Amino acid sequence: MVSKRVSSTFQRGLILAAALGLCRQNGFAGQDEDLDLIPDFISAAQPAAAPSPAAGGNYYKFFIEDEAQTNARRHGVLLPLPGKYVPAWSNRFTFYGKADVRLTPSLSLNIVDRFNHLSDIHSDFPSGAAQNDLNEAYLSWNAYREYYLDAGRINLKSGVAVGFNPTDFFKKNAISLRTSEDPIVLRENRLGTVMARAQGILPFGTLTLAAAPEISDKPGRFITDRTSFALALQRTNAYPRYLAKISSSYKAISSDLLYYRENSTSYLGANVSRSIGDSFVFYGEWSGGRRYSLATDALIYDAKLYGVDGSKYAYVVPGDSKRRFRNQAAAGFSYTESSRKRSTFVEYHYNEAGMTNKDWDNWFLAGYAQRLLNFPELAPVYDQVNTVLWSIRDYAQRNTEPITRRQIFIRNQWQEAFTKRLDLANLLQLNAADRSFFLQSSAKYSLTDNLFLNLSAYFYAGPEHSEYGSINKWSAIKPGITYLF
Amino acid sequence: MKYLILTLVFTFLAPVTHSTETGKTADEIISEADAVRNPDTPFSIVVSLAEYRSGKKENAMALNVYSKENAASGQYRTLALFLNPPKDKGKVMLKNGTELWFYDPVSKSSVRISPQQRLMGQASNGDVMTVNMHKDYKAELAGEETITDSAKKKVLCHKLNLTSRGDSNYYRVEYWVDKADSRPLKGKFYSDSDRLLKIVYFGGYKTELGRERPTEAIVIDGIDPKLVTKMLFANYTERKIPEEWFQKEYLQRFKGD
Repeated sequence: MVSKRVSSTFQRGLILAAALGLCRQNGFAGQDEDLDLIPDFISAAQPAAAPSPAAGGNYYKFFIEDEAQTNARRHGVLLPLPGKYVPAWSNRFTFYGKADVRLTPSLSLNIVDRFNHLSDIHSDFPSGAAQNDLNEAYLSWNAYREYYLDAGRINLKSGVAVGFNPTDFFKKNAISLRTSEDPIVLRENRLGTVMARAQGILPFGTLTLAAAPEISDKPGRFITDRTSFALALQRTNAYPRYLAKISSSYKAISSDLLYYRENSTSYLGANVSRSIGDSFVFYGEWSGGRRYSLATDALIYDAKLYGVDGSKYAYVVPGDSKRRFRNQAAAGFSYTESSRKRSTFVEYHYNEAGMTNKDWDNWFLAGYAQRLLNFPELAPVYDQVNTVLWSIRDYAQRNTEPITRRQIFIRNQWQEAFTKRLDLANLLQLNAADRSFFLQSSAKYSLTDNLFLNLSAYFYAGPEHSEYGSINKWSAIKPGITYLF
Repeated sequence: MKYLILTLVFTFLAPVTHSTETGKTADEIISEADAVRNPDTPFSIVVSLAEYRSGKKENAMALNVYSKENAASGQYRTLALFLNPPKDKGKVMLKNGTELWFYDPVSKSSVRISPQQRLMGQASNGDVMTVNMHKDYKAELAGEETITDSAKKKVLCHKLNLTSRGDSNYYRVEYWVDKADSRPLKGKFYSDSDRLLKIVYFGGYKTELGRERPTEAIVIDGIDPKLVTKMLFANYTERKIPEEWFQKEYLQRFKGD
């Protein structure tokens, strides 16, 4: 009784205090007035019934997407890319399907397929405008408790960084169509590797073992053809590969240790991450192993793709061509302002196999030489040299590693920017040596829960003898539309 | 004037009452209120949210949330599987103490996120259901108040002032618990700069997993009071949730069934 009287007194007092503007709490006054902030119809409203949680454990996702691209060419680049041109426009239509179907209580089938129709060919596929990528197709068996065996074409990913993942060993050669330069988007569009994987998840950590066989590159076979609907397994299974990975967490520090073996060469890797305070996550990623420099690797292995014996042209980039232990690392942090729904990732990328300033000088020297020695009869030789030089850059891009030694990466994403329906993402890649940079700005506007308008703009900026200033376009605009089923 | 003086006394001097006339301490009250929200066995619920701004529906989503108490810390660990909207379907969020991971089935990548990143999404509203207030906050009794609950009924409540013990999303909370049956009815959640972040009304009490539990909550955004979220909690189900499920490598295996 006493307490009720006190309570009543308290309420009346609060009303008085509110009237005098003495109540604190950001304009929220008495307790009953909090309730007034809820419109009556909301109290009575029932949110739409939730779909049954993952009926039968099956998961499906399908979308169609159309994206056009217009390019602004850069004229007078030092080393024009031979045999390729920058189309004024191109168009891509994509049908994406993902299914994770439980066949029995312990056995499931996973399939991810992406069909692309390219109205202007900007890929290396010779057979026309269609390109089908069977990204994944594998069976997963839950053998016992949380022990799993998977077999088939699997996308096995590792790493904690956003812009560059040194420990993501199976990324090599796996991106078949660059639909974006955003690493997060590229991760959604890559070919899996044919492998067997065993995974044991324990209360204190996880052990993952994977083995991928070599599938030799023999044109004329469905599994290794480069035709539109072939599996292109030669891209992902060029060598026998093995991975052992231990993941664990201790006192909120999450870590992975990796051992990877490819074509008789061993690599080690490690990931570590930890959140500090409410807004920061710090992370680092490292791998190392004996290998050639990126330029040498490209000249030895990759120029062949273009029908050129790159090793004959090694003299044009006479850098460090020895096979030795080389490190790759990515370190950075993310910072979030939840009140503004913005997150920023800042990373430093190091690739000891990447090109040094001296390598870049040599690379551009070939361009200067061609410009100075303008002998028409040497044009075929110039073309061969240009092909070899560009194959180095192409190799780095297809392996998803920085071509240069040091790179700064910044990515900012802003959810519900200005309006609930708009998400923005900006990405900056800065070559720390020559100060050239790549900037990508993307916007996604949701017309409905299923229908999205997309717009991206790319900018490549820098002096003509810089990484990004030497690309034969300086800008591209990509409007698109996506419909989710 | 005496009302004003009384108000100032109650509001600003916040006299600390260590026990009620029934002898319950603040810790006991908050523990009982926790037991109302959180079943004492591992469980799952389907959370449906609808977000309104100025009375107009702007967003809707649904999550399948699996929760299990960490016996050592007393904190709840959660796995939240997004069921809706279509763009988020299949994504999984793991909260294991301060270790937070977000998994996207399309990229097949797990990204470590900060507590603030988690707060950016509506999924964080699920926190109000599975936060173990007793473990996360130090409680003090601030007296009794009659408040109006979300069903517009006057209810006599214990008012508790809670202060973070360290690793919680909110620095302090004002919390109203039904004096008659320990049902939590309302909470006001503040940042460390004493900014009001959320007002939450619990309601729709029904018998679930052996006792009366809230089946709805209405969340008013403290920064933008025109933003109101209504949540429904359905399908309370007792679950066997192995410890292994709270490893980040499990996220790609989690199907929420």
